Formats: sequence, structure tokens, C-alpha cells
Amino acid sequence: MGAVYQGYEERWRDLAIRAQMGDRESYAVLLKEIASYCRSYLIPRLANPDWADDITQDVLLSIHKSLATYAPDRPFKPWLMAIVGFRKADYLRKHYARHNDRTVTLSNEEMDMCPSFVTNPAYSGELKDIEAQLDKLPKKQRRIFERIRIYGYTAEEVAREMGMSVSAVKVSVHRARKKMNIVAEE
Amino acid sequence: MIVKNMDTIINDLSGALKPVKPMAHPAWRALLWAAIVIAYVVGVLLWVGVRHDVALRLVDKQFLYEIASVALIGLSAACASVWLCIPDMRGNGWIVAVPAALCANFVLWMLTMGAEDLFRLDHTHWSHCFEEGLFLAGIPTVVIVVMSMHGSTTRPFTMAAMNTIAGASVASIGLRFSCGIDSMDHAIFYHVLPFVAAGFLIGVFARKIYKW
Repeated sequence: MGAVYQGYEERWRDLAIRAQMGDRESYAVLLKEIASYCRSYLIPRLANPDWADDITQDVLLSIHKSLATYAPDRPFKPWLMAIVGFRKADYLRKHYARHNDRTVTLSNEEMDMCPSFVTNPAYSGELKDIEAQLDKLPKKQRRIFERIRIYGYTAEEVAREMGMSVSAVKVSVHRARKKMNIVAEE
Repeated sequence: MIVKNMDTIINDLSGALKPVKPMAHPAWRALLWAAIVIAYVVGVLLWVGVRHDVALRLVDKQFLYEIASVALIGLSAACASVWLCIPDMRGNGWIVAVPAALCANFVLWMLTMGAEDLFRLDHTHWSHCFEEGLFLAGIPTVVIVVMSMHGSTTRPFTMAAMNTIAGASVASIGLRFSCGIDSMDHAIFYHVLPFVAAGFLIGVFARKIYKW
């Protein structure tokens, strides 16, 4: 990041001096570049990248309020970084004072990444449908199906437990699945 | 969404821009404060009246050391205050160490001089020094606080401490010229402790006072 913004020191200094004289265009350019710089500076230094935007906005407002305190004979970046550090500490202090770190909010994007049956109430009925289909299976067949398809046992393990041959277990699972498909299609 | 908000803020801020005059160099601001304060203290002393033995005191080395120490503390605290008005303190963060070190030295000196009297229990009466101290410290403290509020400090608690030390120093010097009691315990209880308490109060509200 340092390399990207190398040479900006002089440029920002000139823009700040022109802003102090009331040049709105220079000021807008300065704020845009500072906003971009601040975000890229803050994001790797914060636990939540979303905070970077809030802090950057605070920094821009602070620069506006304290523009008169910038001395044209001084470098610009130490002045800017003092404000950024102050606003970052202030934001984090308020954030943790409100115990916001102990609450979780799910944004729409995060909700989209969750499996749909977890987040979408419309899918909750499907679990009930599967339960209903399993209920229609004979007791022994259901037990074999659950062991293999739900709990993840191998056919050999189930065969040993049930006192059946491996091929008989596989056939039972196949038939159970077929039966469930038929029920689902109905 | 966020980018749009940021653009809106930048447009609003740049649209509201008015020419601003860069703040005067902190040294000039400190001198301005010192000039106001000297004129004020002289005026108050002329009105309240100086102690009867002032001529004798002015040749007393201990008295002169005390006055010089407190004047240095006050001036350095005022300098630290006006430097603190600038977010990066113009790269001179060390400046706050000067009044802090001088203060520590002075407090130690006072404790050494008046240690044997500190445990007496006759410090509970109301003294005229409280009123005069309040009167002497009031305007200088208000002036330095207002000057500080015009700045943009990134260290509000340090600012509160420096403002308090500056105001208290002025009061302390004024009281040494108006109060005829020279004992150190009196100085500690009536000339210093009230300002320490006031400093704590300012410190509690520091973030609100110096908010920007």
C-alpha cells in the first residue's frame, strides 16, 4: 500500500493548501483520495472490514472540521494519520463500550451463503416430508436405511449388526430409496 | 451502496467548504495566553492587594525558586495545551513531558519542605485562599480551555491535565503574592489540592469538552 501512495505526500499537501484557500474541486479530490487511502489502510487493521467505511467517514468529517489546524509548512501525512488513529481508536472504544462485539448480525450476503433449508422457512416442510416417508417404511428397512444414509455406517457394519448378508443390506437400502421416491412423487 | 454514501459525503463536504485561515503557530498562541494571564493576574492582585511582606519575599531564594518553578510549569503546560490543539502536535509529542516532569519535581519539593506538617488536622477550615484561588484560576483556565476547544486534539485527557496545570499555576503564583502564609502544608492544602480536584472534574468530562 505504501508503494501505491508514494508521492501522494506533496500532492495532498498542495491540495490541502488549496482547500484552505477555498478551492472546492481540490478539496473534493483530496477527500476522495484520502477516503480510498484510509479504507485500504484500515481494512487489514480491523477485525471487521465493514468498520473501515464508518471510520473513513468519521475521518473525512474530522478533516473538514480541523482543516484550519493543518500548517502548510508541515508534512500532510502525519497530520492525517494522527486523525485516522484517533478516529479509529474512538470508533473501537465506542463499539466495544456498547458491547457490539457480543452481537452478531447476518447481512443478506451471509444469509445467502447459508444452506437454504437453514434460513428459508419455506424449506422446513421438506424435513417433515422426509420424516413422513421414513415412517412409511417397514421398521427393519427404515433402520437399515437410517444407519447407512443418515448415520454413515458401511453396508458391512450394518450387515454385521443386523445379522444379514452385505448384498441383502444393499438391496434393502435400494428398495427403501425407490419406495421413498415413489412416495415423494405421489 | 457504501460507495454512494461516501461520494455523497465528499460532495456535501466539498460543497460546504469555505476558505479557512490556518491556525497561528502554537508559540504565538501560547504567548497570547501568557500576555492575557499576566495582565489579568496583575489586575487581580492590584484589586485584592498584595501581601504586606512582598518586598522581603522577593529576596527570599526559596520564594523565588517556588515562583520560578510554578511559572515554568504554567508556561510549559500552556505550550503543551496549544500544541495539543493540532492533531499531530507538529511532531512534538515530547512537549507534554516538560510540564509533567516539572510538576513532579515541584510536588516532590513541596512534600519535602512540608512533610512534617501534612498530618496536622487543622486543614479543614474554609480559607479565603479558596475564593481568591478560584478567582485567579477562573479566567486563565477558561481562556486556555476555549483556545483548546478551537483546536482538534487527539489526546483529550492530556489536554485536560495540561489546561488544569496551566490554570492552577497562575492561581498558585497569584496566591503566593496575595496570601501571607508561607507554610508548605497551607500551600499544598489550599493552593494546590483544590486545583487537583478541579483537574479530575475536567478530566471526567474531557471527551465532551474537547469533542470535535
